[in-house]
Amino acid sequence: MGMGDVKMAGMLGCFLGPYAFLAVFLGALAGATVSGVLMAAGRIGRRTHIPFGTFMSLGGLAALFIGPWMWSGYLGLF
Amino acid sequence: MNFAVIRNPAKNSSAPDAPNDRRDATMAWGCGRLARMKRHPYRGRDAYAPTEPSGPRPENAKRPPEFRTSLSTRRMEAAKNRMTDAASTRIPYDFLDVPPSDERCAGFEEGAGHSPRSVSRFPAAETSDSQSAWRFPKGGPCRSRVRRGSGATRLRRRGAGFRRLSRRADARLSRFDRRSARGYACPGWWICAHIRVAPGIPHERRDAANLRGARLRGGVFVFTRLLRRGGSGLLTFVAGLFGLVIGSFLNVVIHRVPLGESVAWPGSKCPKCGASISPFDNVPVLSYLVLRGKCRNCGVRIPVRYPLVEAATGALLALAAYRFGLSFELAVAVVLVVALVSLAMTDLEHRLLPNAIVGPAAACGLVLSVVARPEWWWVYPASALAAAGGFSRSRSFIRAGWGWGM
Repeated sequence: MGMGDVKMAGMLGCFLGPYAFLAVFLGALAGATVSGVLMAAGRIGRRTHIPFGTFMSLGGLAALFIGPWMWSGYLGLF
Repeated sequence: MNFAVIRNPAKNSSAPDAPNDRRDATMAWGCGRLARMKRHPYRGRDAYAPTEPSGPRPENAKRPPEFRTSLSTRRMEAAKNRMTDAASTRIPYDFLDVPPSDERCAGFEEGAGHSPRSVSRFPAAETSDSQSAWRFPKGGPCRSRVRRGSGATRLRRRGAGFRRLSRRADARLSRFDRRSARGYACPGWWICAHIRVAPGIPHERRDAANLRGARLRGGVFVFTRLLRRGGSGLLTFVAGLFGLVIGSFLNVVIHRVPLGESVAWPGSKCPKCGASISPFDNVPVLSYLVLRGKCRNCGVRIPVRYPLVEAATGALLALAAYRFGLSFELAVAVVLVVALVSLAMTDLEHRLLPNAIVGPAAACGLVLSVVARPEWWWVYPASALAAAGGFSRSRSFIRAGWGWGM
């Protein structure tokens, strides 16, 4: 993760407001899952660069379309 | 008195019958809100709308007791009242889109608009007269006694939760619900719509059980309610086509911006043989299929990334149009989708997130989202700073070895 990811998170904040946190979280989740799976399968090494921006943009799309739904569903758990 | 004669639908034989279950079932197969409005039994009947007297009304003239405004007017007024009530009494829940729990069922008691069940879909004043004053009493959809009817009446009443007649009829109704639910914008209405009334149980317990059951049953509908529909089919289609073209342009952006080349000039070229690509070979997705993924000149393989990006952009823009309709939010969504697709692909290909994309996109997004929701103008820059700041903080933690060793 480099400076570009930080700026991209800021950009998401400009678009999505508070849902940007959701986007970053979802991106981290997806990135960790995928890289964990790939690492377990031996496709990538420990030091390989993960394109975090790709995962963060997936998270951003999810937050854009179903963010409110996810958030209210999460609140509905309590 | 030059008000038009107001016909009572239940008493006048020339007026259409009160909506029955069969009609509802056919409505269920129509294509959405417009079709339903067109088939609405009261549509176009000016008898129900008053014609105002031409001159100024005298001071002491009373409205006739059976005065009724038209359906749409009353619905609009009800919605307006609800909105102003909500706005004046509490902080608007607009932003995080989570209504406070007591408002989940707002409007349900009135039986107007929000519940797609066949009875309450038609406003109480219109379906009821002295003999069938059927509406939810104030304070909740609870009744202690089953009113019996026969035939269509019973079917109609059953729709709002009396007795279950047959599994099949019930399935039909729920299908109808799912169909008709799409157009309604009440957040969480599906909780309202699934409340059933079982006679003979004390009110509180019944309400609690109904809400619980509604939540459970609502779970089935989560997938239909996931995306609230905003745009028409035509808008979605046009946005999809637009997205294909934009995606074709994004391919150029993804290819050239990380290399620092100009996006606009020169025109598209085959990276291997340098032959310029004709407009016929530049049609999104189709050209790839026609050329079978090979350059027309030298036969080098075109990466599958190109049609994929085009198709993905088209699909996402169509989705955005479907979700947001024609609004400022759509503009925000379009710019965001375009930026995210290009950033995802540049990161995947070059491990770069070019400032030339992030910067203008951020500025554009800030302006657009502030225009879309002016009352929340401070949220966007704040959360941009917070997201970036929190991120860089966690990044420095990770660097310092406090993280997960990424």
